[in-house]
Amino acid sequence: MLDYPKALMCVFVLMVLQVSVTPQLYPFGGGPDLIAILVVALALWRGIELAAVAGFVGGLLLDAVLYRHLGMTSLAYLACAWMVTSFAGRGEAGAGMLEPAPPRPLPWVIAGALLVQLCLVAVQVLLGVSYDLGFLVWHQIVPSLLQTTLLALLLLPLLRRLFRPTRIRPDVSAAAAV
Amino acid sequence: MLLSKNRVIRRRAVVGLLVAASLTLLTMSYREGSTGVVGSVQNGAAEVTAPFASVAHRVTSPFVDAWHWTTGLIDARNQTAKLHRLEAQAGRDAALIKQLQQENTTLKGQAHYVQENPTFHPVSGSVIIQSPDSDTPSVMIGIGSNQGVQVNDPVVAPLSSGGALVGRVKEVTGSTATVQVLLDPAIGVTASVQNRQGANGTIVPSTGTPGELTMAEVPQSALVKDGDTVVTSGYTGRLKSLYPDGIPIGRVTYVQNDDLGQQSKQIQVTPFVNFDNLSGVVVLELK
Repeated sequence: MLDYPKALMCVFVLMVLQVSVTPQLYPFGGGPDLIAILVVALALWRGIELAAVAGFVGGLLLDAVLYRHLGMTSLAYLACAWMVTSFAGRGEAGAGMLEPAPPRPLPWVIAGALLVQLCLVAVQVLLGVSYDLGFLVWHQIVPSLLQTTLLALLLLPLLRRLFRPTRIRPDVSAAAAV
Repeated sequence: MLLSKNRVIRRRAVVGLLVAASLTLLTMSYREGSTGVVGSVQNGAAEVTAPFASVAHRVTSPFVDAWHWTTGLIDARNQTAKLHRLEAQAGRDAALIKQLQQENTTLKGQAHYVQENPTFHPVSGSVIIQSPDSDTPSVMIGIGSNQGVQVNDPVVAPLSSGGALVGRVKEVTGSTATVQVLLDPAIGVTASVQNRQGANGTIVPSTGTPGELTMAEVPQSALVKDGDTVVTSGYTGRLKSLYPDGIPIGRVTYVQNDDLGQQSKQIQVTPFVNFDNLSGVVVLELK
């Protein structure tokens, strides 16, 4: 149960860093998506529930602070959490069985960050915002992916310490303890 | 199995609720804009996060400054390299401009000469052979009778090289001409010292000083000083000179004042034309 407070604290800290610090470090435009790294890590190591809640709250905070349409980024992070848990290949384990080891997170961070960017573009387009495709790709999506990947190399080990992947299903181990 | 099913349902419910909440908020936000509930939520969130953002900004500002310093340094190096490239380009452009200006000056000079000497038509030609024979120095130029060049036409240097007298055309073929230069002992040019009354004489090569000229038969009474300019006199009497008057020849470097009672004196003249480095000439064709 401590996962939720820890995850929400991480969401808040990463959101603050994302809106206050990383905009100053844009070398090529765009910006790293720290919340996406957290959502992917949680989806891989803790399942979709925690990842979805963290993504929803993180997206909501980002939209609120950046004065964007509320819910837009939350939707993108929810899609990211769903995609990672659905396609990362971590199947359900039976009662008392060891769950398979989670896959390497970095490729999923890249895929998740890309999906978030695409979802944000899709929602914006649906809301009637027009984009120059070349500018969007080369000054927003690609730089954002590169920076997210670089920061994920630093952030993932820290998140792994906070949300160590479980090898035994928590509810089964709890039942066994009872 | 039941436990697993419950988990799946719970997961789907949580995700479904969150998606529905997101869509609801998005719809409200889109309809209300920055006013109403959505606007107050955004303002509240901004107020709450502002102190944390400020702290984070202050804590990380040294690192950000270091990053900016590093990237600025890289930018400065790139700009320096770019400036070096531009400087080199500017140097090449300046050389090109200088070359074009010289050509322009040459052409202007030719035009100027036509104005001053309406009886002559200038034709420029390149020196193709420079005779190594020091006894009869001459140069061969790449224009001949096909271009209207005739024997005895005066030849001068381009104005960019001083426009001074080179010599006269000695022989002509269809496409070439041989120019007898002032250093040839067989040549004699009537000359006068500019702005010196009565200082007339004949220009011949110096016998003891290669490359120098001597102005002979200058009356003793003529006052000539070092540094005076010698020009063609263009004598137009019964024996008409081949050369129009006023063409610069050289500068006086030594005046031999004869005190043995002779009637004339000799003046040493350094020619304006560098005959060792003559690349082009202008032939003055009589119209």
